[in-house]
Amino acid sequence: MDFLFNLLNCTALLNLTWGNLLMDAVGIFFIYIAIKKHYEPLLLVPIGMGILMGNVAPIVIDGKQIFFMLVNGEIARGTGQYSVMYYLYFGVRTGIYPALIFLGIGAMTDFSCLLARPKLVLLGAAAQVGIFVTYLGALALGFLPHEAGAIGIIGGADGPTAIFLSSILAPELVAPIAIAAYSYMALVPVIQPPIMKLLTTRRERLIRMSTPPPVSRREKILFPIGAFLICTVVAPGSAILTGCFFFGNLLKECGVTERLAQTARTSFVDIVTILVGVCVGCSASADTFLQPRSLLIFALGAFSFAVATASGVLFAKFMNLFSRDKINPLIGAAGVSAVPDSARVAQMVGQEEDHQNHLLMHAMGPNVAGVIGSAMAAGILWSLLG
Amino acid sequence: MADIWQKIVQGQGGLITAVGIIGVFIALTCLYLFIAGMRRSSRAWRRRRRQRAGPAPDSASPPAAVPVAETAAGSTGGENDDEEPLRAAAAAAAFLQLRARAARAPAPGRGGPGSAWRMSGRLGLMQRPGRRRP
Repeated sequence: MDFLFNLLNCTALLNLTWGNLLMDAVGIFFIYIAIKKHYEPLLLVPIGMGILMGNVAPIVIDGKQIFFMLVNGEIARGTGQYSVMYYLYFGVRTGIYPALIFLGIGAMTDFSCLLARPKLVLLGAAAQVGIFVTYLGALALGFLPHEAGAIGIIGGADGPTAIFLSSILAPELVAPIAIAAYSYMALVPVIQPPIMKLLTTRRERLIRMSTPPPVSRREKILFPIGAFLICTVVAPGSAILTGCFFFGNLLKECGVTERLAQTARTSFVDIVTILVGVCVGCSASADTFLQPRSLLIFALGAFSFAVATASGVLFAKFMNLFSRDKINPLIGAAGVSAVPDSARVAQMVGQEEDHQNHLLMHAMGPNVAGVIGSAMAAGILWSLLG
Repeated sequence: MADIWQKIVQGQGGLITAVGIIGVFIALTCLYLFIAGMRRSSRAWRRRRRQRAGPAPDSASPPAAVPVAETAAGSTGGENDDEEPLRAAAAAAAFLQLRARAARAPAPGRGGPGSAWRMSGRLGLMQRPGRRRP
């Protein structure tokens, strides 16, 4: 009988908690919606699998609890050694992965749409209002200032930026913040359209934008260099993210490093995405994730997204008051980064009114400006709260 | 309410929000000025270079410098002199029509419903990751 009990004790069955089971269900749900509904599969599959891995109960061998998957150093150290996931999580803890992802994103990004119509860059700034309004909301709900800053960045709709800032300002909140950010990014097609329709008239949604002038190769090469210098001077805290972002873009545009650019935008960014997804999922263990604070973070994240979308749309309408060349206000919603999902949403909402109105490439301008804007906002928050 | 206000004041909510929003706007306005300045100087540079190189050959100019009426008569070798003005008028009308169509149609990569600029967006960006099937 003792032998059987010991055998059972060696399995995870006796040590599973209801919290672990609930988190396993969340992980399976993420994998399900990624596969079945195609919601951000490249992120939700690794995160979902990571959640399953992070909620494996401790296994007892010779009276010692062995944690294979936990990323928390303190828990793992109790066994006399760190887990593999603890070492992989180092990239999240120190902000290495987000910077590397930015390098890959830079190598994918085409700034032509932004360079062709420079004023759209201001829409990327307007959408960052959501970050700072949410900062106020989080303070009001009792979060400490550094935690509130990390929560506010969810409104930037940029997963790597959210991980980067929260790993610096509030490492204990990385899991709920990252999962909230990626979940809302997956839900952009659900969250944004009602807000966009509510804040615009049919006449505004029908505005057709003129085709922008072409952009020369010289301009595309000069932009990442000049933009990096400007961003770093104004917000030095954003230098890591914007530096990697514009470096990746320079690799793409300079024309002599095509091999490096190709690697950065394919295998390189894919490898880092896998590591980020699995590590963030693993960090969402039941004891750290199933807290009332996590629910508040999710609620604040939704609020942040909504405010960011609304401020982008309203600022586009404001710009139309002074501009002869009218902007379709729907593209203001693309100022929340979420590349290219929010631009796709602007295109789809625009086409509901007019099938011949193609807003996608126009919306890519504020979309990439939003990436720069959210990195700037993260840099400013880091400088002020770090 | 007073408690919430107290928390916001303690966390320097107003100051950080104001500094943050203004900071992001200043940064991106600087970026806007940089792009606008770069575009303007690039356009001026291109214009200067074009001027230095002399006038570019006009692709929309008539095929020949000689009067259309003379060309029509010479090329067809028409026996009937009464048809010459008609042919000349038809050639001129065709030329004008072609030029108008060329002006309406977008240059490659410069817009229009089927342009490369838009098509690249539609094909590349409207596909969700993971939806592509072999």
